[in-house]
Amino acid sequence: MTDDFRRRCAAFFAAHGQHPEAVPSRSRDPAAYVAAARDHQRALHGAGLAGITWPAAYGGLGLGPEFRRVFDEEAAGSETFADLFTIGFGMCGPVLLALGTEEQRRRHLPPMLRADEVWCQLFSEPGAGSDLASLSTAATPDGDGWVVTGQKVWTTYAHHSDRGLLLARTDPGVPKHRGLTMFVADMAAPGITVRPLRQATGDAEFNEVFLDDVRLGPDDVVGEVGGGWRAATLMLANERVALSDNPIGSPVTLDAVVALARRHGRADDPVVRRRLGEAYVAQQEVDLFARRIAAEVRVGNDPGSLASVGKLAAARVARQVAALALEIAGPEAVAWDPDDPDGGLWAYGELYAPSLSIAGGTEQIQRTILGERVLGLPREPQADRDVPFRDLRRSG
Amino acid sequence: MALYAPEHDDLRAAVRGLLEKAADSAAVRRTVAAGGFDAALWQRMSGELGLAGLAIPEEHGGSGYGPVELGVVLEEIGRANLPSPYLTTVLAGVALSTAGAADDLLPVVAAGERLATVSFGTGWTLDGDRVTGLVDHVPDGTTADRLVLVGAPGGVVVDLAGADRRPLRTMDLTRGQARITLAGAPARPFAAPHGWAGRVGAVAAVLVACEQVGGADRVLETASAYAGERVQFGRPIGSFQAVKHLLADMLVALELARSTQQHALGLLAAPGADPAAVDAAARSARVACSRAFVQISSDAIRVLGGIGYTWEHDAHLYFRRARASAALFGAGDDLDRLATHAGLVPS
Ligand SMILES: Cc1cc2nc3c(=O)[nH]c(=O)nc-3n(C[C@H](O)[C@H](O)[C@H](O)COP(=O)(O)OP(=O)(O)OC[C@H]3O[C@@H](n4cnc5c(N)ncnc54)[C@H](O)[C@@H]3O)c2cc1C
Repeated sequence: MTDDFRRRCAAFFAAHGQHPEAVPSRSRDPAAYVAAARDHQRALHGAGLAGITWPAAYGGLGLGPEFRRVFDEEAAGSETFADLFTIGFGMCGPVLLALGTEEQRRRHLPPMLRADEVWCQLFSEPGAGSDLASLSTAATPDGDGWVVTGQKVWTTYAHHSDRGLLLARTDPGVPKHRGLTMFVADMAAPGITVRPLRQATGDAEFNEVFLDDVRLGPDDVVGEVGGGWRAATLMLANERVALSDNPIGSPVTLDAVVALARRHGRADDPVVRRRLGEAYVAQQEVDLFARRIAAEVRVGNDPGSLASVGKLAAARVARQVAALALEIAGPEAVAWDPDDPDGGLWAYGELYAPSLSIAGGTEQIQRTILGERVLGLPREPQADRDVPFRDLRRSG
Repeated sequence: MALYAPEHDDLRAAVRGLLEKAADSAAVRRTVAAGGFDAALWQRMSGELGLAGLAIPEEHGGSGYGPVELGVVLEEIGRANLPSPYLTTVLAGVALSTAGAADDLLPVVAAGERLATVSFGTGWTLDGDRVTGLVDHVPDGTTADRLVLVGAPGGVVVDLAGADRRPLRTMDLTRGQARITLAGAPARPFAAPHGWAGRVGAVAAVLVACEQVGGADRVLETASAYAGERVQFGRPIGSFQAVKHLLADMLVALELARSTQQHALGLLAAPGADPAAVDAAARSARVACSRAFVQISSDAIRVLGGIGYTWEHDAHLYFRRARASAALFGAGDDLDRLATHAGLVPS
C-alpha cells in the first residue's frame, strides 16, 4: 500500500535531498538558509509530497500517519528544514484544520504547503510566559473588526514570517482564561513591527513583535470570540508533539558524537562507551515515543497531554548528547581555530540545548500537565482563576 | 501496524481478572512466606487459560502465538508482582522450539506439567551426554524440572531431578535463584540454527522488560492514588509540586520505557527482522525498562512516606523485584554493546 509512495519519496530525495552539512548554516547565513528551505518545500510540493496527512481539499495528500512515517524513513539523513516549518505545519496548520472556517482553510493552508507563506506563533508576552492566559495584548472591537495593541516576545522566525496565529484579549472584564480570542495576523499589516532578539547562542531567531493599532477583520477570528484559550491549548498540545520529535534544531547528533569519539581515539574507553550507550538508549526512547504518539494522533485532534513526555525527554536527550560531546572534545570544544568553520559546533550545541527546556512550555509546566491531566493529581490552589482579568496581580 | 489487536485486550483482561481474584496482595504474601509459587494458580493459568503453551507451536501442544502474547501475560504477572515460574518456563519453551529441540518435552511444558528454566552461563562443559560445571544464579532454579543451557553452537537440556542445587538468599522475595552444580549430570545436547543463542537472549531481555513495565505501571498507579488521598497541610500531597513533579518524572520514565518495550516486541514478532536490529532493540528495552522500574519503585517509597517503608506495604516487594530483575540473564554488558550499535565499534 505504501510501496509506491515509498518509491516516490526515495526518488525525490535521490534528486533533491540535501545533506544537512551542505545546507547554508542557519546560524551563519540565515537568509540563505530560509531561501533554501522555501525552495526545498516548493520542490516537495511540486513532487506531490507536501501535506501528507492533510485533506486533499486544502492541498494535502489525505493519507494516513503510516505514510508520514514512510516519508520520514526515506528522508532520514537529508535536511528537512523543520526549523522553519514546524510552527506552520506542526502547530498553526492543525489548529486551522480543527477550528478554522472552510474559507480560512482554503485561503491559508495551500500557500503554507507551498512555502509561499511562513507562519509564526504570537503568544508569549513580556508579562505572560508560563502563565500565558494572563496576556494583555488587547483586541478592541472596532466596527465589524478589531484593533490590536500590545507586545509579543520570543516570537520564533517572526522576521521571516508572512502570517501568525495571534492570541489577544477581547474581554478584560472576565477571568483570564475566558476573555481571549485567536486571530490570523498578516505580518505585513500596518502597525506590526518586528525586532529580532539575539539569543544565548549569538543567533537572532526569535523576535519582539510590537502591535500598534493593527486592524483585524471579522474573518480573521479563529474559532469563537472568547474561545481563544481552547484554541491556544490545542495549539500548545500540537507544539508538544512537534517538539517531542527529534530535538528540533539541535546540531549535535549522536552520530556526530560517535565520529568525535573515534577521532579522539576513545572507541575503547569504557567510560565513553558507557555514556554513549546511555545516550543511545535515551535517543531511542525519544524516537520510539514520538513514533508511538504520532501513530495515535490524527491531524487536528488533541494529541493528548501525554505528548509532554516526549517534549521533556527530547530536551533532556539534547542536553545529554551535547554534554557528552563537550566531555569527549575537552579543551577543543571551548577554544578553536578561527579558520575551522565547524570548530564551534560543540559549544553551539551546548548553548542551544537549554532552549528546548523552555520553548513550548518549561519543564515545570510540562510536569504539572502530566501530573494533573494524565495522572489525575489534584490541582494546586489557584488564587486567580475566578478573578476578572482587570483585577489580577501581574508582573512586567 | 498496531502491536495490539482486540484479542490482546481480551487476553489481558482474562489474565488480569484471574490474578486480581487469585493473586491479590494477601495471596502473594502467603506465597512469598511459603516460598516457591502457588501451584493451584499455576494450574489454572496453564490449564484453564492455556498460558504456558501460548508460544509453543501447535504441533507440539501449544497454541502457536509469539512474544507479543507472552508479553501481555508477563505485564500482568508484573503488575501483580506474582511469584511465578511463567517467565522462565515460557522462555525455555521459546529456546527449545526455536531450536527445533526436545519435541517430547514441549507438550508437557505447554500443558504446564513440567517447569523449565534457562541459563546463559558459560561455566559448564559437555562430554558426550554428560554435563559438568557450575551454573549460578539460575532463576527459578529451585523449582524447575529442567534446565536449558544456552550456548553455541547449540544448547543442552539438563534434568534437574537429583541435581545439586543450592537455593540462594535473594533480594527479590518473589523469585528464587539457585546455584546448580553439575557433576557429569545426564544431559541432552541439541543443535540450533545460526544466531539462536542471540535470539533467545533477545527474547529473554524483552520478556523481562514486559514484566518490569507491568510492575512499574502498577506501582505508579498506587503512588498516584495515594498522593491524591493523603492530606497534609490541609491539602492532598499530590497538589504539592514537589510531589506532583516527582510522580510526573516517574510517568515519563514509564512511557519512554514502554515505547522501547513495544518496539522490541514488534521487532521480535516481525518475520525476517535483522538480528542486529533485534539485539539493539532488546537491549535498549532492557536498559530502559530496568531503569524505569527501579526509579519508579524506589521513588514510590518516597511518595508514600513512612508507610511505604514498612514491611507490610508492598512497595519494597516491587523495589526488590525491580533491582533483581535488572540483573537477570546476563544484562551486564548492554551499554557497551549499545555503544557498538550506535556506531562506536571497539578496535
Ligand atoms: C528559543 C525559544 C523560542 C520561543 N519561541 C516562541 C514562539 O515562537 N512564540 C511564542 O509565543 N513563545 C515562544 N517562546 C516563549 C516560551 O514559550 C516561554 O519562554 C516559556 O513559556 C516560558 O515563559 P517565560 O520565558 O516568561 O518564563 P516564566 O514563565 O517567567 O518562567 C520562569 C521560571 O519560572 C518557572 N515557573 C513559572 N510558573 C511556574 C509554575 N506555575 N510552577 C512552577 N514553575 C513555574 C518556569 O518553569 C521557569 O523555570 C520561545 C522561547 C524560547 C526560549
